[in-house]
Parts: sequence; structure tokens; C-alpha cells
Amino acid sequence: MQERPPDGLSVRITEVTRPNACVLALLGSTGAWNVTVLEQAFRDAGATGRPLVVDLSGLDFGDEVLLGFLLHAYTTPRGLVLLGPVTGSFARRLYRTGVDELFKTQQTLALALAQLPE
Amino acid sequence: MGELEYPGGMREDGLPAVLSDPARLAALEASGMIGSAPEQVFDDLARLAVSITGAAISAITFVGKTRTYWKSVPHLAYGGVENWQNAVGDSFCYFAVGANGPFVVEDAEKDPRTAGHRAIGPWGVGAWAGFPIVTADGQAIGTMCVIDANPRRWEQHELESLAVLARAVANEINLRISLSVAQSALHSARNALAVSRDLARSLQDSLLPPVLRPVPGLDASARYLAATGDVEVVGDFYDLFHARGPWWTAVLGDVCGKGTEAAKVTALARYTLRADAGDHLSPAAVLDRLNTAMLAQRAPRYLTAVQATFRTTPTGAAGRLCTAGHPPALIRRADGRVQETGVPGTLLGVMPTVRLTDVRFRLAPGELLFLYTDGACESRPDPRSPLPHRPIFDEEALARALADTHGMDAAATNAHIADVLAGHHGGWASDDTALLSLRVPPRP
Repeated sequence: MQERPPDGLSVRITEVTRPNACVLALLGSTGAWNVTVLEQAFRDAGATGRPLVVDLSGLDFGDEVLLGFLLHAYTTPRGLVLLGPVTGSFARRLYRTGVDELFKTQQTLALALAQLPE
Repeated sequence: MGELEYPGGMREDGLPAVLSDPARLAALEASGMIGSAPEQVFDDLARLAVSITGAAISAITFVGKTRTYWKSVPHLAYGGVENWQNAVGDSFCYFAVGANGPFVVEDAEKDPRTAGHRAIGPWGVGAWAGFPIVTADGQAIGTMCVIDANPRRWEQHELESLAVLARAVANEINLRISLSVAQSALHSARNALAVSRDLARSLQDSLLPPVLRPVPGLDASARYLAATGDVEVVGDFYDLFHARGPWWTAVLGDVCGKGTEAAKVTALARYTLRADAGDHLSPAAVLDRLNTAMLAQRAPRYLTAVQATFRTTPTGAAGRLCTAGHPPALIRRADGRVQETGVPGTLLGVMPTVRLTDVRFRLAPGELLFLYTDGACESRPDPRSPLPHRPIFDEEALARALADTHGMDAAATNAHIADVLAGHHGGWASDDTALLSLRVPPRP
């Protein structure tokens, strides 16, 4: 597990072995002031080589850059599932941009892990 | 005088070859000590050497290819740069530099290494002990030395103290070199930042029309609000241009992210939209083609946009509007009500198939179409600010602010929105914002 100091955004990366997955939890808000933290978090999560679960249940605000990272993760063959509930402005952003149906979203970690590829 | 062996050999004049080593001379030059005047910090160390050893004379010198430069000789009054040096063979300093190690003589006249040396007379050297001043990269550039008029034995603790003082001199010089390098790097970085800022500004300017082309029968105004402290080119853009016949196109877009990758997508979007808008009066069709172009070009960023194609009519303006992943457009009606318009559509540059829908709109005299990027509906105060937390200035707040502009023309409307945003974020804009207002002038 890896913790980062909060700067409006707190990041937690957990590697799960059964099933094989990396859970990236984002708590707080993303923005221009913590874009490097967010970028590093996705880089670290990607470096695990594991299918990715991004936990957005603790997200207060997600900006366009977060959506960009999610879209990038979606295009990789490793697999991506969102863990919700995704609420507020980021839920609106997903709907408004027409990508809410693109992502698989589950409400519990067990269901999210179950939906990842083997 | 017996010949010594030096690690780098000897020159033809019998002095150590290392005195001419370009790397050593470069290190000496970088030290800034050549021809420099005495300084308190070095004089203090030289006096300390006298106190510890009981020697008559102490000196800190820097040894060049042909000259030895005196930095500190406390027992002598400073005589200016020209007099504060001698030929490199006129002192013992080169011995320590040539060996890159201590040089200790207890009886100069009898020691076979120095017997008959031409420095003995002028300096009255009976005994001499010196340690090299060595830079961080291992170059011996000078000496810390003590001289006694009579032969004497140098005690071990005296020599150890002298070595410490030589290292203290070296540390002082190395710190100065490091500071100088850091200052030089800082200067270079500042210059690079200034160049980068100028380039970003030029690039940003090139991606936005310098002035909006006037549309007959329409009052149009655009405003670009830069994020606080930003030097990178960003992806917000707007444009207003003639499509064909009576039709005009207004477009406003937001490329995800910043920097040159975002700028490339911005340029691609602007020029693709301009090229295609004349062929298709459907904004959805034009944005669909842009999506195809972005995928074909492997655009490195996604884009959201809102595009309106319209014409002025005897009763105002009418046209079609499409949003692609973008916040809804707002229409300020003549009575001050604000209405959202636009059906949410797919963002561009990610999926091969996008869902985009045109909606029709009409503007009566006095009514205004307001297009904006998300900086206008996601404004937040600096989260690091000690001020009390304030909620996001969201789409509802933006609609209320637009309602407050009832009766204002396009430029005043944008100015009011800009003021409201600044009031909310307290002067710290987290994101860039583009505003584009199109108003049908009220009938006189």
C-alpha cells in the first residue's frame, strides 16, 4: 500500500493478488494543483501491470484531467472497472461527455474485482 | 637541488607538468581566486595557521601555469594584484600542488629537494610546510602553507591542523563554486522560463482569433481568462467565422490538458472545423468529422466542444447547435430568463462512434447565446487557502450570474461573468476559461 500526503487529493494504491488487481482509490478533489500527484498515481498503478479498479466513491470533485486518465486506462488491454457510487459533478461529467456507458461501474469492491479480466 | 617525481611528470622547466594541465587550470579559473584581493575569511584561516604552528609566516596561494597568486599573506600589507603574485618557480607552493599532497621541509637549505632553491633567499625560508587546496573534483589549485625563518621540526598535530585548514579553504572555495553554478543554472532556468512563457503566449495567441469578425446584425464578444500562474499553452479556444451564404459558425472548445500536446489538438480542431463548416450546416456533422479526423491523426488529447451554425433573420437569429461532451449552452431571453440548450453528446477524439444531436435555437432582439468552457462552471477557490471553504461555482450559479446580466451587451455580459468568477475564486483561477457571447441587438 502506498499513501500520499493530502493536497486536496489523497491517493491510495492497493495491490490485490486474488483476483489479480490494482485498486487505486482517489479521495478528495482533483485539480491543477495536484495534477502531478494524480499522474504519478496512475503511473504507479499502471506499473503494477495488474487490471485496474479506480475507486471514485470518495471523490468530491473530478476534473477533465482525471477523465483523461480514466479514458487512457480504458484503452489499455489490462482492463478497468470503476468503483462507485460516482456522484456529484463527476457523475455529471461522465454523463455530459457521453462516456458513462463506456465504463463498467460497480458499487462494491467484490463486484468490481469480479468484473475484471482474469 | 634534487629532482622530485610528480604523478604527472615534469615540464621542460623542471616544474610539475600538472601545473599546465587544462583541467586543473579550468578548476583554478572556476574558483575565481586568480588575481582576487585578500578577504577576511582567508586571512582568519591563515592567522590561525600561525597561531597553531608558531610559524613566522602563513600564506594561502593559488598556483597557475606560470604565476603563483597570493590570496592571503597576513603579515604583508596588500600591494595590489600586480604585486600580489610571483613567478611559479619563486616559491615552494608548486611542490604541494604538483604532488597533490603535503610538502614538508624542516631545513630548506639541507633538504635535497629544496637546497639551493631560489625561493629560500627572498622569503627567508628555514622550514616550510604546506598542504594543497583541492577542489571537489580533485584538482589541486593552491596551498595553505606556513614558513619559519629557521629550520625546525613540524609536530604531527601541527601538520594535521594545517591539513584541516587547507580543507577549510577548499570547502569555502567549493561552496562558492557550487553557489556560482547554482546561480548560473538559476539564471539559465529563468531565461528558459521567460522564453517558454513567450512561446506559450504566442502559441496561445495564434490559436485564438485576435479579434472576432463582425457578423452583420449581431453583437459578438469573446473573452479568454487565463488560469492563475499558468505559463503553458492551454486547450481552450473559440472561433467565429463565415460558413457559407448567410450562415455563420460559432465554436468554442476545450482540449483536455495543457502544453504542446493540447496545442496540437487545438490547432487540428480549429482548422478542421473551419474547413468543414462550409460543407455542412449541421454542427453535429461537422463535429463528427472532427472526431474522425482526431482519431485518424491519433490526437493525444480528447476534446469537448459546442458549435452553433446560425444566420441572422429579420426577427433576430436562428440556427442549430450541438454539444460534444461540453457543458450546455445558455440562452438569456429578452425577459432575463436563462435557458439551457443542447443535448449532451459524446466527447471527441476517443470513440469511433459518437452520439451528437443538433438542436434548433432562435434568438429574438435583446437575446443572447452564451458559450463557455468548464472553467466558468467549475470555479473553485484555492484549496490551499486558509479562507473558509466555498462550494464550486457550478452551472446553476453560472446561470444565475448570466440572468443578472439582463440588458447588457455581449462584451458587458462577458465582463460581468469574469468579475463574478474572480469574486468567487478570490483571484486564483484554477482553470482557463473561454467565454463567447452572441447577442441580437434590441430594437431601438
